Amino acid sequence: MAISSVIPCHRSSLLGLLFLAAAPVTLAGPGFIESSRVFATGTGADIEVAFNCKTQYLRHEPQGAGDHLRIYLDPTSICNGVSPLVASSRSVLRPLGSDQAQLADLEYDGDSAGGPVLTLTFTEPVTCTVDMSSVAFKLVVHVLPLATQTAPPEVRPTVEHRQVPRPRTAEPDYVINLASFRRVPTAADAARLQPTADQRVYYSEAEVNGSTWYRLRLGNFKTADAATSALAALQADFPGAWIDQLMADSAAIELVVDTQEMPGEPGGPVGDETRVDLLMADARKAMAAGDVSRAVQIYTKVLRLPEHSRLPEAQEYLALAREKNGQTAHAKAEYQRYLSLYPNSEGAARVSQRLAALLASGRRTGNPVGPGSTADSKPSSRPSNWRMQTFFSQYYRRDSNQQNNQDEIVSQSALYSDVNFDARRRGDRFDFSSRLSLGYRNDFLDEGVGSGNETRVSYAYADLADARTGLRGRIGRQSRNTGGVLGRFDGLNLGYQAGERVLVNAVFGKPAYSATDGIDSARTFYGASVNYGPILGDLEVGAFFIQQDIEGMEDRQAVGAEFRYFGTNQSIWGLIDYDTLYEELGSAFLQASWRFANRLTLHGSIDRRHSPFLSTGNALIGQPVTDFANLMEIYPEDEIRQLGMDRSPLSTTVTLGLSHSLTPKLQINADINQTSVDASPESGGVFATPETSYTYFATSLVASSLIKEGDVTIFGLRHSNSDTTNVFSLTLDSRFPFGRTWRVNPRLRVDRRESLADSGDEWLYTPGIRVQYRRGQRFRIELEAGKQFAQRESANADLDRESFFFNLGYQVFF
Amino acid sequence: MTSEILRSSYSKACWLSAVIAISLLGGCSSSGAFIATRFDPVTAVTITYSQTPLMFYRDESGRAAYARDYVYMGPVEVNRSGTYRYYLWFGIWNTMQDATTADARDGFEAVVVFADGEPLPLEISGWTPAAIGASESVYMKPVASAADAYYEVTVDQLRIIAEAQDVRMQPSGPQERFYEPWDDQTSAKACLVEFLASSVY
Repeated sequence: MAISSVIPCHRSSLLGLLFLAAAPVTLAGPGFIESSRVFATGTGADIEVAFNCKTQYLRHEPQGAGDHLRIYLDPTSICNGVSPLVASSRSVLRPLGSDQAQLADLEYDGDSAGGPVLTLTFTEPVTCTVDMSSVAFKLVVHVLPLATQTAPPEVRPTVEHRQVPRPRTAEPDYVINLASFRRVPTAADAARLQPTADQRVYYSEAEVNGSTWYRLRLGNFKTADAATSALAALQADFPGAWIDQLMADSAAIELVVDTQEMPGEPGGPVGDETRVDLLMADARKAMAAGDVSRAVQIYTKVLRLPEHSRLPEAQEYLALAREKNGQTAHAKAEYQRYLSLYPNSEGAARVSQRLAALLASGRRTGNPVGPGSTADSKPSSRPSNWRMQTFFSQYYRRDSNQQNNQDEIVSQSALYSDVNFDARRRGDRFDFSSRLSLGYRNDFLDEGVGSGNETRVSYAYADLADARTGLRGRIGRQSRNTGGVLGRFDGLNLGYQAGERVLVNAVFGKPAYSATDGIDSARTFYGASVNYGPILGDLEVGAFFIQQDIEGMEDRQAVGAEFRYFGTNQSIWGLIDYDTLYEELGSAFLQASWRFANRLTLHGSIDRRHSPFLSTGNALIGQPVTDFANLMEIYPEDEIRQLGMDRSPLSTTVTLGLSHSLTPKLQINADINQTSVDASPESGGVFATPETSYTYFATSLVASSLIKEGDVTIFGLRHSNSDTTNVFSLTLDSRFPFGRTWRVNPRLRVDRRESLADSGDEWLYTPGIRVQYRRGQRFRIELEAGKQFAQRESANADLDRESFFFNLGYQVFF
Repeated sequence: MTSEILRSSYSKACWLSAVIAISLLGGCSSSGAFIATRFDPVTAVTITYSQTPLMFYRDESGRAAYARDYVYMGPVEVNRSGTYRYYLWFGIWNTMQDATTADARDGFEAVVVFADGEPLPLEISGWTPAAIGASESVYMKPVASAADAYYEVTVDQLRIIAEAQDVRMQPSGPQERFYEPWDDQTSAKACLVEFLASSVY
């Protein structure tokens, strides 16, 4: 017997449950939900959800309109290639085309207190009709926006369908589904194909949601690898192609057609244009009726059709429809796409104006436009071309510790406030942007106890780009990581895009290695760099020169290069910096990964550099003066350079690692690392330092969905030893999602430290928890708390210590 | 001893030669394609992804000039019998020796990507390939200790990122932690554009 239900007063419609009979047989995916799709209909949209296990519909709520729909289910143990245990899993999905149904997401929770429930969340209140046979693999939710409700349709009987088990062959062939059509494919659709003698081109029929689809296919392939190789070659002509498994019995519903035997395209190109005209007229009607979701769907379809004369028009109207639908970001992207595709079209100026108005109106266009609105409606206030964005966060942090039952000492009690402010203006020729990123620490501890109040300026710059000349300039506090620049600086960076592959940069400024630093009055640098790529496929290379002075003396002068290559199974990244002042290798870094066929990836890196980075200014280290000008009064220039060299010992770090996917839900990673720092000589009153080394071995096991769908547990072991200490560490870190808004992260770390100096032995236990709550898309609250218990035993004295840490804060952006 | 060897001119030349040779070797082995597609025989999904991920970094130059946190970001299309889903993969790692694999994940349950100032809030779908229905990692991790993270997105979100002049990201957490784009990523941007051009949207 079929069960159907209507919210609030609609009657059910026939559910065409031909899932197994007509759909291609595929391996089941992970999780309870096999697939979900959204189809636009004349009045709304249908959301189709397919399950991996046959399921009994129980009830749904609410019975009236709402922005949530909960459907209670009772899964059976009849499943398609998955364990029935998947019915107790949890998954959150957002089907392709969700916007057409005002669907934010759909969530299945098989472990809910009220029993397995499928929850659909909509971006606005809607009415829904739920169609499902009593026990089935699929349900369909018909969504009708409140604004477009009409008289209830006639009741149609719901038909119960039976699943007919079909034997599967042991080793199925593979086929490539080139494209799907609502019409019978023609020879023209396969014109670009060049099948080999043992391949066939044919089409099959499939019933999806009551509609007949014709699938143009190429086959057969004996192995998945062969199909994958062929698919790669076909992607250019058939971008939506996918691989399917072909069971022996599926041929019974297939009609094999040779390309030469396919019927010709009725009407040829004229037919395409006619179809475009019909679709455009349909979309315009939908727009006029306020059914902008439907219009979006149609315009998108028009844009997918082969080259035709109304593409610019469809592109513009798609942007407009999305704007009317409240999809500001999407509308912006569509307008920008129009301007990039048709910059010289007659509509370019008009689209530019709409884009500018959209950017200016900002979030005011975020509300959906109701029915009856016209395409020409204007923002309510005078538009501006500026766009502002603010990000704000505040966190309170408290750290305290206690030794041997003595009084608790609070080492930190401070409120950290951070704000990031962006202002942008995008014009026809010039793009302007500016950014101010500030932080402030409000220390609640007494002066001399805490670190004190502190202001941080991470970024404060203005940026101007000229699209016509390819020039770009940025002035203020900013950050660079290439071109020999070592991070944050105050200054000017000029760029020039000289052709598609060549980018030239010039930079001038003063380093600001810490956000709490003011402008460095002693150091000044300038440099130039050029980047070229991609070449030889995916390789990018760059070279630079940089000169930095300190109080009129050369601080650092270097040339260097960078290259990056990412391949399918190999990647390599290298940086080299040669100091021409000291005639020394300043730094060299090489990192490579290599993936093998058995899910094993090997990693290796070598990093050799002076630490700290080689510069004359390092001569200040260990000196009684803090100002370089004063140092110049004490030592001659040559001696200062030697001091700078002596205080910059070479360090070498070599890391080898591997990562391996044991199963899709279980990964293992392992690293071994050795770092050594060369000895430094005694000079300038600073003692010599011996050579030191540090080695660690670390491994971690990452497992997902152990307890509930979406969780992850990381189990880590680590052993490190240095010249003074051996440390063994164990970490256990789990992260659980609860519903859509809560995340909980309990963790435990246990360390055992062996001191080689006094044979001391220390155990540290650090349990902790992080909790995150999200309200809406723009507000988050986070809590982190933990305690560390330390017990140290040595020949001299025993020590018990407890530390407590606590963070509570929020983030908001608007 | 090692130091002396590296200080010699001969050794410096060897370093440079090795770097150039390896780079050319890498280049020659390249297919030149911006996107790659592969069939996962275990889960029967077809996966398309960008050949070169975008690189982001967080400047830690206050600690050391070379100290950085990194995030690699690449798009993924998962095609399950004609049902398409889109994800962003993050490869999260850093140069800090004391950081653990678990710590690297902190704050990445919820990330905001800012594309030309437009905030795109992303919620984690999962930390292993199982989250997207794949049997192994789509992208290669840069180091073994890197954390994989997958976020479900729409094609429109990917398009906004691809068309933005300025993209950065902010994970949650008690610190201001903006990840800025690595300079001059022509290949990665071209790959993302090509990925979108090939998508079924």
